[in-house]
Amino acid sequence: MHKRLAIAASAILFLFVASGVARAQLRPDQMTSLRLAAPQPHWAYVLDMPNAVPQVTKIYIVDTDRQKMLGQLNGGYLASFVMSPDHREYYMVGTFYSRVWHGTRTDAVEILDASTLNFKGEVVIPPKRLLIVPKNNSAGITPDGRFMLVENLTPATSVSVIDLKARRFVGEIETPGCVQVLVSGPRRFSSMCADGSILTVHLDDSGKAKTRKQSKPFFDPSKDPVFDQPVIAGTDAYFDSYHGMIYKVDLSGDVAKAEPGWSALDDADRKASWRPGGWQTIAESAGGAKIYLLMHQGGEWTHKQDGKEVWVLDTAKKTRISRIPLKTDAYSIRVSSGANPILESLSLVQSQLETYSLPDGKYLGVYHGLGAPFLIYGL
Amino acid sequence: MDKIVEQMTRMVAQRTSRRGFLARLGRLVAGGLIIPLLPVNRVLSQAVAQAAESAPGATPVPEGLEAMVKHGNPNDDTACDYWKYCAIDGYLCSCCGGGSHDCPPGASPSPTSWVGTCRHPGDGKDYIISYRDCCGKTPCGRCLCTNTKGEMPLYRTQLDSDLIWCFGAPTMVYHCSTAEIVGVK
Repeated sequence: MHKRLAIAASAILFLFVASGVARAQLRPDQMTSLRLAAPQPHWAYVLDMPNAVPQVTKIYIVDTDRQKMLGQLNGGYLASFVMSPDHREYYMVGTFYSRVWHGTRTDAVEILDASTLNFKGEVVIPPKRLLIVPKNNSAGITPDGRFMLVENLTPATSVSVIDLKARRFVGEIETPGCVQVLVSGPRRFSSMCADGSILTVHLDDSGKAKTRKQSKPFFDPSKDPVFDQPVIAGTDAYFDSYHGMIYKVDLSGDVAKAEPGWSALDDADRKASWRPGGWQTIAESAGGAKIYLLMHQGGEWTHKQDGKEVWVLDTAKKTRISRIPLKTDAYSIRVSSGANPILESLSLVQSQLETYSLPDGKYLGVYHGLGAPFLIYGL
Repeated sequence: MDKIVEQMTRMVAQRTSRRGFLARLGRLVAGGLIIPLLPVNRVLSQAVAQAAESAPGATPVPEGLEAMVKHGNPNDDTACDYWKYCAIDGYLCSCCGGGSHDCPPGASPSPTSWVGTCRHPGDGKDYIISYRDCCGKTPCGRCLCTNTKGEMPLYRTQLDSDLIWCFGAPTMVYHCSTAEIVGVK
């Protein structure tokens, strides 16, 4: 009997101790979906076009200050990324086949919430959007957030207009011989044309074309073509050419006005075969007062070679301010917006993003594992 | 040159529905700009003149794919340096079950293409090459080449290699790239 009592007492004691131990253990996890705070200037939005299966495009959101992955957005086949001007919504403009690799084609603007990154809705557009290794300016948004403009190429060229307020497709604007959407005002976009000119289209409040005027050619595409991914600062577009010429084009009027081009290179640079190259080769800060060029040393037709340095240019004085050597050769660059801009460089080969402080060009850090990263976006 | 353009036009006409072709042509001409369709002779002469001066630049190949890229043999159609591939951009169909001008089984040749000019190492002649994509399956993923000789930005559409050149194919899903001789320049 005593023995039994002793066993029972031991069992009770064990349970008591065990429950005490249980009380000291970690609590069960409560699983949830995190939300993002308001987007920051030092967040880099890196577009990954998965090489083997580009049917899903990814955007990685990286906080470059903390070297931390914040989340991921998905889009369709060779999708374009666009951010609303109030930073509350993201858009992925993509193409979908009903059976992924065959079936019926649908093109859509997918709307995502910037805090939850959840899918909020979509606007189906004509299935003729430009399908290309993702480039800047294949889709754009007016500064008031009202209209989305999407480049079409079948190979005839036009622009689809989407009313984001009404969440509907409005219509199509023909842009024969001209491509891409460089948005420079609430009701205005420009396209680059085959003869080296710029077409400027003004929209009315319903999203229809009001005026459509073509400039004179400002460069000779057969001698020294400009890259097709200019950087836009306000109403000015800055173009860099295969041979290192810089062109500033004022897009604010009915007709685009180009200033005479100037070279980013001096004789010694030319002798050493420096020239711009990569994918996203030009960036800007301070409203276009400074531009940044991704530079390498190479001969003719090396316009897609990785850059070793970033050259900082003063656009008013038309001179070089500094040269920033990159730790890793880069395919794309961007300079963040805001009071404290940093230089972001992307290596497609190394699948990574590096950051550098400005203006001193000090290396800040690296973020690895970004798939096949082609483009960097930001606020 | 005129002969070649005529030949190419015939080829495209034969391979696409005439109504569709005329509609597209009509739209290109609509604004008085036929440049995207016929920049070939003017631009190519420039391209060849410039390209002849130096070798094409090496462009980056994403991690994991480098080992699959072969260089150095102008007669091996599974190498990026195969003479016809001087301006090819994409996965070689030769490494994917097809050939230098044949699609792998189940993939469809695109009736449209971009063009380049390559010099044959044997006869020294410059040939006009039509870079036609094979379409209808996801990217083959083997033997990626990114040669950029004569390659132009998107506003010179006919000479842009980053586009998915599957216009007129059953789907715009890119599988691999071929190089077809169209004629001598």
